[in-house]
Amino acid sequence: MEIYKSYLDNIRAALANEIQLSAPEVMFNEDRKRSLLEEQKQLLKKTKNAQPLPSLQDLSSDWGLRPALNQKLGLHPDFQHLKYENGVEYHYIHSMFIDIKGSTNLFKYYSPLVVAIVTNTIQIAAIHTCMVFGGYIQRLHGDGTLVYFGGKQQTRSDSVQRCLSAASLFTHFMKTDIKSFFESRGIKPIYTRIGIDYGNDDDVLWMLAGAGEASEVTTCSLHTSLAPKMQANAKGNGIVVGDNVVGLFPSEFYSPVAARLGEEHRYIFRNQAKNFNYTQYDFDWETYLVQNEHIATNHFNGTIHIKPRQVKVVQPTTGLASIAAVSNPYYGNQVG
Amino acid sequence: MATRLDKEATQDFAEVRRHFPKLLTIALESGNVLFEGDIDIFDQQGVYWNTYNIRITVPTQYPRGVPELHEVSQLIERVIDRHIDKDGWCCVGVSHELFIRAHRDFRIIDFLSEYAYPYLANQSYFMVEGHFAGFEYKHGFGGVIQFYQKLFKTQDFELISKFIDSFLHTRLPRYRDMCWCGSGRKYRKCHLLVINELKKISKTQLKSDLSNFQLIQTPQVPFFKQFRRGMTSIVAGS
Repeated sequence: MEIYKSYLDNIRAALANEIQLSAPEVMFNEDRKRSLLEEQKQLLKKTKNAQPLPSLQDLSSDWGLRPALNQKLGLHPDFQHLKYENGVEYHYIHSMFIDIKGSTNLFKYYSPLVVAIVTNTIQIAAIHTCMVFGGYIQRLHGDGTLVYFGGKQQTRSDSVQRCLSAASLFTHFMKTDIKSFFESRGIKPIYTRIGIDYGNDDDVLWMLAGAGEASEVTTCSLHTSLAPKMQANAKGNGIVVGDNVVGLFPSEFYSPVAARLGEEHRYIFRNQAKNFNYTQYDFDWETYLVQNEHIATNHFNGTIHIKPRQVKVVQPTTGLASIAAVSNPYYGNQVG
Repeated sequence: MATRLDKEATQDFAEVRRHFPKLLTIALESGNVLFEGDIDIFDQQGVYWNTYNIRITVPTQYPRGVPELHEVSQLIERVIDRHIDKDGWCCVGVSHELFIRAHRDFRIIDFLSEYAYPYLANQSYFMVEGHFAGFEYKHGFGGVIQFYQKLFKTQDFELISKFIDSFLHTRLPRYRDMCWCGSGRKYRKCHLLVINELKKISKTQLKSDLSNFQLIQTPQVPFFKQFRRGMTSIVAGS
């Protein structure tokens, strides 16, 4: 997908660099080796760019989004006062946990520096996608990322759609661009799994965890805890969501995880004393994405594209002419 | 609720959904089926052009019959030179040609790929270039004449109407006779194939077309004389 091109180019450059490093003429040329290693370090630095790449920023304007670009890790702006007040507050939130899987396999083929560039680039692409859709990055756990969607200025229905759109778009990038990139090199592709849950106002307690500099404003909620657990039950490049998400955004895009993994996986959480059974669902992000009003599907090859707000009128019509010329329109008062 | 979504049609409709995920099937209580939603237009280089909101009416005798296309989004100017009426009904081709096509199964995915998608792509092309990409039929009976000229591969009205008349009255040449068109070939190796196509058009339609042809050939009808002069410049199918 065009919007992720720069991220993929970064990975491509790192791998090309690694191939050069293993070439016999470089192995014994210390200067060349040093310069290639320096290039790799620069690529790793490039992934650390705090702002989404222009392609993703264009997406936010095309979709009419209000991206949350200026943010501090673990400090949702609507609840940052809790850092100084030491108080608590109840407020709804969507929790999304994204995990990158299969990076260990990369060590078979690449140096730690290259593996770091690959995993970092993918994690940054995920972070930037979430930021563009208004998500707040709460925490990084190695290859895992916890993101919150929603806040005091956003409605629940708007933020659930933003959350699902971000997860779907990023997963599409993993399933198409990243997958085919590694497969074309004969390497088992790296993939992601995502878990999403929604906690209502009564179920999510915002608070300061830790103390002093070793602290963060976070949520204490069953539904935040369930997001990483549901992630573990997602298939490769899959998304699993909780009952509450289905309730908030009902659609035909869900099927119980039990249908795929068996009845013992129907519920992600049970409290038999309270007769509380919480179901987990596979989210059909591919269908959700192709039905999104901002996405156009090329019916010739099934690829999806972000619809620009305005089509460039300067684009040449040669590719259109061959399809259009098949049509011989008519005007009469009969069928046709 | 009475519907006629049999297994074959259901499979066809699922295929439409695979290719055009924003087209939704709507089964009406009357038993009729509609497709409603968006079609995204891409060119052969994979460049996106625009999206039309459309409605397709599936004929009751599906997979026989001709589906109808309506443009709902109003991106196409409602003037007859854009081959669309004020209600958004799209004239994707001459009805005769469509009836011939629909004589055997005319699956909805085929209608989309052969007629609806090219028609909409042609409208996108028009929006940029100010004209259509290929041949367009004249409005009204002029387009019907062009259709017959293309089908018979001749511009000779008299010959066309002679064939239609003979077909309607079963006075056609015998297979081994020389063809009336003067090609020097036997009828079975010449215009017999065209006559077989005529069988797919309703006799009512053919009778109506024949009387229109005869009017054009009547010298004392001034309007049609003028019309006839205009038609001599048509190079059908080019």
